[in-house]
Amino acid sequence: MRQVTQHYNTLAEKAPITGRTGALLGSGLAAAGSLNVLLGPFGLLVALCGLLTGWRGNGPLGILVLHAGVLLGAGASPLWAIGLLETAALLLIVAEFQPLREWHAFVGIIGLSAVSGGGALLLVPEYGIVVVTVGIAGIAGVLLYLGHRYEQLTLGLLQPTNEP
Amino acid sequence: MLPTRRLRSVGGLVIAMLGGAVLTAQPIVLLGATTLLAGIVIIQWQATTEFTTVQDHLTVEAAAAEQRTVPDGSLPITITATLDKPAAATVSLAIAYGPGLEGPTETVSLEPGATQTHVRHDVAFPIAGQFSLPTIRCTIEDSSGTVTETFEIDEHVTVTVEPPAPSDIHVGQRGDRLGGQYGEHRSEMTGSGTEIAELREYRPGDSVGMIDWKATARLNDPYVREFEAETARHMTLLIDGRPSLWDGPRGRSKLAYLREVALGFVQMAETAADPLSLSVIEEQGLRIQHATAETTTHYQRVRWTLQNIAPEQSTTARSTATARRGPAEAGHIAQQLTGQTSAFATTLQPYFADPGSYIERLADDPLFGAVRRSTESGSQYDWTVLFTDDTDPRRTIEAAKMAARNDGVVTVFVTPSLLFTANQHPAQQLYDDYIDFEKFRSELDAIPRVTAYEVSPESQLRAVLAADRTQTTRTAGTGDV
Repeated sequence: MRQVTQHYNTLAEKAPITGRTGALLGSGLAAAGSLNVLLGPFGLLVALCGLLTGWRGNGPLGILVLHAGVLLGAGASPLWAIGLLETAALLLIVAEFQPLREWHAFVGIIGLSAVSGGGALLLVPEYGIVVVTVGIAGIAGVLLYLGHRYEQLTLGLLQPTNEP
Repeated sequence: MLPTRRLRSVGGLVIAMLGGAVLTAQPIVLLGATTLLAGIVIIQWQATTEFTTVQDHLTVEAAAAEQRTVPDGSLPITITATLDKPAAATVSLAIAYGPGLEGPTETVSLEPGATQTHVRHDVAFPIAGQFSLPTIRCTIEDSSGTVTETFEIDEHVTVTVEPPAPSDIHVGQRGDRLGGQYGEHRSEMTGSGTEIAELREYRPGDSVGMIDWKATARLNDPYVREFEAETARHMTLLIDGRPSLWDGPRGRSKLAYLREVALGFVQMAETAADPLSLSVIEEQGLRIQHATAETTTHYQRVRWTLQNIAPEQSTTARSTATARRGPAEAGHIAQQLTGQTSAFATTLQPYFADPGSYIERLADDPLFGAVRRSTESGSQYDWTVLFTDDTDPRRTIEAAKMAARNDGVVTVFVTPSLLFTANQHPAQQLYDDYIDFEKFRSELDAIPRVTAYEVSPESQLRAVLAADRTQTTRTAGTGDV
């Protein structure tokens, strides 16, 4: 004998689909504007590929596509075009993950990516890309570990230690 | 917090982009990786907030329909999860039943937006004991499906599984209920204790501390006060679990009644911290044996064994061989046959020629054999408690004698078979059978250091005894006419 019942709160708010669509459209426009400058008409094709990948539910892969496309271009890239491309990447990831569409999370990711991206651009000429890459990976790892421990602390899941 | 497959694939992409940035020496690829990393950090933060909210508003209840059941019984178990307000995260509750409980490995989910869910399923309890429902594993997956967290919820629901027990137990002698505790025992020794044993004159060598100064002043001679020594009495429970003990309806068999008395002895031994051993005897011989111990775990194990004694599974037919004559009677017959030359006497003489083989024949009896084994290492502080019926009175008497041979104390609890048979005999015949049973019990009781009690259903016994009163009244009435 098995009986399962579920009661739904009919007044519960549902995630607005427009949030995802708007983020994807914004991402597509930003990517097209950026890559058009960096790669010419071919850049529009790369932007379209990135948008379609994101639309099909794989935003992180779309980000990879956009950045891989930039590698095909030659010459120095203007800073505003790079900023526009990162905005497109940011909107793709926001479209992908629903919790990032809340305002405080949106502001948080903008701030964090701006600080980390700006820092990386400033530090690469001085320390080299290898050191900066390792540094960013390390800082991200520490942040994720601290976040994990904080989550366990708030949920009361930290095991008691043997220390007196 | 554990990453889902989705987050692991994103992590793989980040590593690929970081590697690509190093290989191509292009900072723009590194920027893509930092954007993704920033997203992961913020998602983790959001997930923490969601998990905390769910934990604060989630109430999980596990409830059994009843707190008690019988072995092989089942109870509906209901698990209810309620959220005070709808959450975006998915909550899954999993319960997996372990040993002693047979139930489905159940998983029930509280989908995003849902406020309450409950699942109801049957759980079987095949064996007796006390069982706690297992902890419920609550797994929360954040709304983005990237991380999960699991914690355990213990509702401390306990179900007691007890065999169906009779409620109208009569323990007594000659139809009268026993007053007081049948387990009370007095120490045969004097020593340090609290109960005063005697006051006697001082003898050289006695400790000065033992002198009772008040008595000495009163009697003008030095007197010492002695106390009953506090001894630990080894208690041996011998349970006859042979097929005849299972006569009667389920939960009201002879063994069901005897089991209740035996459980009382276990309780008493535990209270007094007396060493206790248990042997269960079946047609094939000794089946279960718990060696003497006095730990809490041991008492629990003995109690569990008593509650879970089941009828023998073998196909052995019930033994019908009974020992009709004791060695004294056999010796008397042998004397009578000596010197007689008739064909009848000549035929019988070889069967009574070797009275020594009587014990050897009895040794094949599982009850007698078990008693002999248990008393081999016995001492005068041993207390053997035998639980059996009146199917084979002669062997039971010999077993009781064997138990008492080392100056040990023996208590025998016997059930009268006449009160457990389904056949509807006339009331007077039942009464006559009870008189025969009472003779057997009295014979047991007459053995030195042996006390015998009857254990029976109170209502049936009263009905049998009432039959005699009815018969007496009727006879008296007829006499008047």
